[in-house]
Amino acid sequence: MPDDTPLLSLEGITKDFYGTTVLRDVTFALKRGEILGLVGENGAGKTTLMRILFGMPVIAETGGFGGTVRIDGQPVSFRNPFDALDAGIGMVHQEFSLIPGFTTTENIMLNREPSRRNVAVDLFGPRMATLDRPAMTTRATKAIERLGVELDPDMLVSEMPVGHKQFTEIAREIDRENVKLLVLDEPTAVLAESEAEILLDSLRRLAAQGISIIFISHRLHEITAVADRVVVLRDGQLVKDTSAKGVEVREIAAWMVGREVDANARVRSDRKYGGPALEVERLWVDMPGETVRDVSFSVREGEIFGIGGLAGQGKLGIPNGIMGLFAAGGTVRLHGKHVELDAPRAALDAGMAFVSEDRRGVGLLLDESLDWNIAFTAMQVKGSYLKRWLGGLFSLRDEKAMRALAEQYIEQLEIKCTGHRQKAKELSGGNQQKICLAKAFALEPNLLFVSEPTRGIDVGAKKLVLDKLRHYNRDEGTTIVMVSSELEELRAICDRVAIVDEGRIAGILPPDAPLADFGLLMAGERAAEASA
Amino acid sequence: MKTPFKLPSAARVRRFAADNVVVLIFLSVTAIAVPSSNLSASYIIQDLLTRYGRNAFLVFSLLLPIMAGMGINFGMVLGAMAGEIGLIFAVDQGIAGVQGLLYAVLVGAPIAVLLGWIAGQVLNRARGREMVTGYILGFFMDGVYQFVVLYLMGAIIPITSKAITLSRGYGIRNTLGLDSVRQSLDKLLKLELGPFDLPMATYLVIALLALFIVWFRRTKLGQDMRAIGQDQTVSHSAGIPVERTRILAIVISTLLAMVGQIIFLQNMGNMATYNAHRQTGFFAAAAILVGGASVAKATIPNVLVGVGLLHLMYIVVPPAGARLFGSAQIGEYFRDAMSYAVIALALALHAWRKRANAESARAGLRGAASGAVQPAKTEGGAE
Amino acid sequence: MSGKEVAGAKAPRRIALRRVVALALVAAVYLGAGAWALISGKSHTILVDNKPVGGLEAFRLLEVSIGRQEPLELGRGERDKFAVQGQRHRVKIDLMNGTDPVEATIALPYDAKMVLLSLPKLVAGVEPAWEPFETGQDAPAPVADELPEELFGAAIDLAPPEAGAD
Repeated sequence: MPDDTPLLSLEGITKDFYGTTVLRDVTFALKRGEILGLVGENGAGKTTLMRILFGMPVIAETGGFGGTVRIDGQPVSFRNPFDALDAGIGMVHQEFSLIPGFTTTENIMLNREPSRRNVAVDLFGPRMATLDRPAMTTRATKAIERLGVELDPDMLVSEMPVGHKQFTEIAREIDRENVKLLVLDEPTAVLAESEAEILLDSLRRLAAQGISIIFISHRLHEITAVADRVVVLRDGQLVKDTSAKGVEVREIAAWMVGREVDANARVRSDRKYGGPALEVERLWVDMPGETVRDVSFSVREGEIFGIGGLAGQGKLGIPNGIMGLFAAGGTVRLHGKHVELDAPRAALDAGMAFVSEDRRGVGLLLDESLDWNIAFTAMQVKGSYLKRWLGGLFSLRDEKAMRALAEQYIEQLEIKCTGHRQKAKELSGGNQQKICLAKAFALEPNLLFVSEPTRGIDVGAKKLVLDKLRHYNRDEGTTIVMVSSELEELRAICDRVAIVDEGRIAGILPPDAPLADFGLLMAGERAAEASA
Repeated sequence: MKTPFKLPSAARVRRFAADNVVVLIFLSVTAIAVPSSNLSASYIIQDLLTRYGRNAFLVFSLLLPIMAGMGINFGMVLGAMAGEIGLIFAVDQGIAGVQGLLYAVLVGAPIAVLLGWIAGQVLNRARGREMVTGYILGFFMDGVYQFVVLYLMGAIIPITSKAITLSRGYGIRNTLGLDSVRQSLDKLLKLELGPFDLPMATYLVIALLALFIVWFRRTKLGQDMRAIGQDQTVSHSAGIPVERTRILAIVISTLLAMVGQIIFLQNMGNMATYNAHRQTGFFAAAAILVGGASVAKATIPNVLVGVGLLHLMYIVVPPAGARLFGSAQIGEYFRDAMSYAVIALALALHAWRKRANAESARAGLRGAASGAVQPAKTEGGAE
Repeated sequence: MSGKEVAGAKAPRRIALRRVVALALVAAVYLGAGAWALISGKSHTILVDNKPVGGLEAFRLLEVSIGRQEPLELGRGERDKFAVQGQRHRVKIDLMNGTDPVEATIALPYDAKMVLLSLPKLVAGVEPAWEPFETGQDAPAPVADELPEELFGAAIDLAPPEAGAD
């Protein structure tokens, strides 16, 4: 061990926004080549902590922070993210920041392109230097090699699968000569499990090369798999700083939420199902990135039917296609009645509701209040919450009924908000998801599609959302089709789980089937082999 | 892994048509008009050769702003005005020949840079609406130009030649004779090739410009412009000075338009002082769009093809109109209408084409269940 | 700029110097090109005159050329003109009588728009052989259509009263 000075140490970091304390006396250190898993529920202070580390202007604008940030033992204070980059700290964001029409190489080298001087440089400044393309490719290839993944340096980002984009982004950060510390904020959120696995391998490689990593993830098993140390934040305070060795996912989850989580509670007291509720035959859906080729299945009345599979294999396309959001073909029958495809209104009229995975785009009217959000679809489809005048000649919103409805769901779903007039965009991801659920519940559907209900929300909210679905199914008898990337939650609440692979259903398993069987189906094996 | 998927031939044809509908419409109209015009091939070719020299430079000035994601720079008329002011001074001072053109360029350059900088500032405040803003900015600057040329020149700005001044003592006459510089660039290196006259010096200047653009794309600034053209937010977060780069794209475009207008006018031999620049942006835009460019993507071949096609139509349609309808004027109305239609069509197509491309790319991904198309291996996909 | 920043910045300084030199070069080229265009591009009209002047006889017939322009034939008492650029010009006169052509160089002042070059004087070696020529008549009065017809699509009467705009 040549040097015992920690690469990064945070000492007594405190921050408040307008009187609300969001970080209180957070102290921890990070050694060279160490992977630190940073976990915490939404609002625990992770984002603020990273903003402080990167010198985001918003911190200074809101009165700065207390405590000291040291790098290699020297106190630092960055005025903007570029200072932090110069000091060797790289950040990989949740959203991709890549140029679609550029190649892998061009993106990795973006704004750091090696170039050759020429006369024009003297005349008009350094930006007239010509790019040194061979050097760019060499350096990009080197960065890709350090990651230990296979990326085509000449492939356009727009043609890449999502996993490659994430690696391109990471390669961009590690190309910096002086990179010492890499912060990854939910890098696996958009990745399928297999891709995430490769990413974790890359992180281990980087750490072995002496780069320290702060890894923020909601997927706790990734934390236990890759991190050397786990730091848990809760309500702005550091509640646990421990070696990751021997730590169980369940423990971390408990530290995070401060209560025991019973993720696998399974109530399956002899479930009863009716006849077929939804019959799907030879469905194809033309949804970008989630193409469905040929899918047939049938869901029984009162059942929770799970659809799982890796990202990009088409599981998301199934509900989106049936609900008419993307071009689709095939036969869909609800309670024996034919459902018209390519017509969202027909699907809704048939009594189906859909909680989209695209909360912000499809699910919510972000600039509108909660009550309006919850009642909107019901109003449009069923004419509920409207007061009719002059024999239905025109109608007005029934604000009172809407309000009552909103308040009912806010209470029922434990939505954290300032009131039913708050705007949807001001809520956290988990609470937005609950609004989407409330909106679907308000339709009183006889079949509910739920797509990625727990994506991007924290453990506590996750459990609540799943519980609500389960109760809704049990109490109202509503048939639910749930699509999720997280196998564990499918197994936790579904009665049957279908696995989609390459746009087709690879097989349907009971939830208590061995994990290996699910894995085989996802890996493209057909049901026959899997159950053999 | 990239498995090229095969499109059914009908779909491929449709896609090709969708990509090139502007060019195809233009070609078919021209194909009908060429024989009916009764013009000889050598006449048409000579006229085309002349018009290439006259117009290509102007059209080239549109390339960089398109690359920087700012659409078609209708603000290039500002550059044209700067060139005209340069020419007014060259004529006033009695500077003739190529030197006169050089002088006009040197006088016009600072004006073009200033106007370009102003335009860039304005367009930075009108993100996403650059084209319409540039167009209106052109109208506004036209007013300023009239004020300067009609009232200030001869009154405050010294103009010595009475031959170009209005008899009231200030203001420039409506038509400025450019006899002293007429075709001086075209005549500098004239090549006679069989029956054709080739203005080689003009072609050389245009070739140099094309080389410059090829080189420019390889510079850091060019790369930054490409990046900004695709995603401003990402470019900004990578530390690229977005606003400055956009301004530079407009400044360079304005400068090139200035030179282009001077080349255009030296070929024409006289200048409608108050009108010469009005249609400049429109013609250049029509040309580059006819060449198959879109408001988001344009290449040097687009410029060369476009100038040829647009002017071929301009040559043949009036005589064709005269023969078919007994009136050349109908042909002239028709070609103007066609040019405007091309711009409107190209703008509408820009949105539509994007969707058509995305859809046809995905059509091959549909499953066997759709019946109509063959199943194909998914492109890329997870993993 | 503080002294501290400059102290440790030798290399940037050299680059700055390079830039200053380069920009000075650009400025020099710009001004140089401008000066060259102004001087060598300046156009003059030379009237070549074959009339008796100050006791010198006019020639019966001659061929005169300036620079590389096509020669003009002048009879006795005739006058014609050359449009030239720049100030120094080589004049060649062929008297068409078997003798060698007479060659001479004339230098005009920059601001002389039009000069009258007397060929008899030039052949006789009288210096200077030319004199400034004032036309006396100014540019032709503008007619109505020289004015911009329309501004913003509306006809505006801008013609001065004496032009008799209708």
